[in-house]
Amino acid sequence: MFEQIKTLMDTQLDIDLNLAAFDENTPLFEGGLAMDSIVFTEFILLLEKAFEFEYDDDELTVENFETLAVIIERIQKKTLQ
Amino acid sequence: MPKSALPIPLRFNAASTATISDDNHTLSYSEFNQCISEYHNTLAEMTLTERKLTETVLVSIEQSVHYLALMLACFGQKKGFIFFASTGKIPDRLSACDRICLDQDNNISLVTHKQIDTQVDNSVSPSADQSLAMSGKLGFLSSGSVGDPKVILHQAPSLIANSQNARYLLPLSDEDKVLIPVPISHMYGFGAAALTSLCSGASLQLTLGLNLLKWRKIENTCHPSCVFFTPSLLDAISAKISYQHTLKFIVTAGDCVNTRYLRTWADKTQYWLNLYGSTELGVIGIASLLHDDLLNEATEKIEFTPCNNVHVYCQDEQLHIVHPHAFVGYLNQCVLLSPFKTGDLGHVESNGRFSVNGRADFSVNREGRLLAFAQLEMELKKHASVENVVLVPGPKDSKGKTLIACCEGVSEEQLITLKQTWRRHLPAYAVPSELKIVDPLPRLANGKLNRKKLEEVITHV
Repeated sequence: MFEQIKTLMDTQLDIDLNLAAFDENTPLFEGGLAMDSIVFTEFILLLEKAFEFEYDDDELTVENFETLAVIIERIQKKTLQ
Repeated sequence: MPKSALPIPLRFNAASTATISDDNHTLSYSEFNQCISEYHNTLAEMTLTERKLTETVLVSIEQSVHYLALMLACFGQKKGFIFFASTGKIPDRLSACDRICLDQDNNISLVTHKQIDTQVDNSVSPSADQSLAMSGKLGFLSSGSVGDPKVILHQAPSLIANSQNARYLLPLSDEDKVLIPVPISHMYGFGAAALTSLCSGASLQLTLGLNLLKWRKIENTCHPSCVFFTPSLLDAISAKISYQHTLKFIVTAGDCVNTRYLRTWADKTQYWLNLYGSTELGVIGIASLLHDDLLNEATEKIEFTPCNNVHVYCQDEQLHIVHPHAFVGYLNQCVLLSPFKTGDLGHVESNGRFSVNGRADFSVNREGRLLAFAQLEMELKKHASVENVVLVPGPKDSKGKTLIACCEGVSEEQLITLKQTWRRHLPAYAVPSELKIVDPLPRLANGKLNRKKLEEVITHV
């Protein structure tokens, strides 16, 4: 799933990914990818479309989007339900 | 509350429970007034010490309550102060000015230009004669899409009066909690949002780096009643809106507001108010967007009501403004420019309300006809299925400058038929000679088209 998300981000988001230094633990915001507000919303919509699920309102918290590892874990839980 | 004769240092009154907050601090109005007063006295002392400040002082601004107090402490000083975002670049012509900021303990810290950057060209700093005119003036940098920013100078009483004027049209009260994620270093965030809210005695929450997650957190913990958005912030929030918490009103600014979210926000907020204004004039007019005609797509025209005593009229199809609380001039060019020519195409109704139809100053002369990009872009969009078309001037041919159409939201196949479609509906001189797909079109953080970047981009398309 990590590779799939990485490809999605690289091809569909307006973001400068340093692919060599980018892994599951790279922060999405400060000290990492520094996603701006528009790119972040696009990222969420992209994930929902690609993996056919929808985030609940109470899941949209900073803690749930710190790194791709955290995001992947939640997507796996949601898509298994 | 400050009136025309300003109490210096400034003081604001509010309900006892109202507060002014940022991401780290919360002050009561009383503490905030005290903070302004202390900064004001420090600045006044700094102008008297042997190590004199330059006549124009740059103030590096961050999104915090203490920086807001520092900006207000600059009112009524003998020097001129120019505000700029700490993350922004200092225009070369200001590099010889002293610069102040706040240190870790929120005390005023003086950093001279020599200490900041020894590499910049200081030859174009304000001259002695010109800097004499800076006394008591407050400057903001413009956020235009082309070239270096202008430095726009205001008199302190005009800034207050401008915000008071906007208050008549904004339903703000001391019971409101106003969220301000737009930068206070700019006129919109400072004059329209912060100062207007302070004059109303409302609670303020300044925040930085708003995104969907931060918005949800603030919504659930601070329960704002009003929010000032930029178009791009509004886009970021609108895609996944929650209806658990409703608002009294939201505010946007500019003529590029995205009305596709009208229905989304109709159940979320009582009012969506769109401001028309500029750094030079502050708020000029206001439009309420959540009304039946716009919601039912009976019209796309947004009509603004001018602020009190603001006179808007049309000359050569361009909007001209007579504003009682206008700026005093640009840096090194302190002359009153009234009426102010906005450079926007528009229309004024007999009832005084007006609409804006884009910029007038991007145009080419072709076959003896002046083609205003804004008007022509609207025509091109009307006759073809394309999300957005932006025109840029191309090379000259025998009939004058050619036009290049930069298209967003169109496929290669559609692009081929576009020109034919336009040829059927428009005179030959108005049909762009070249079409390019630029998707997405480059935009500034405030949502406006970045024309400078676009001209760079199309050379590679």
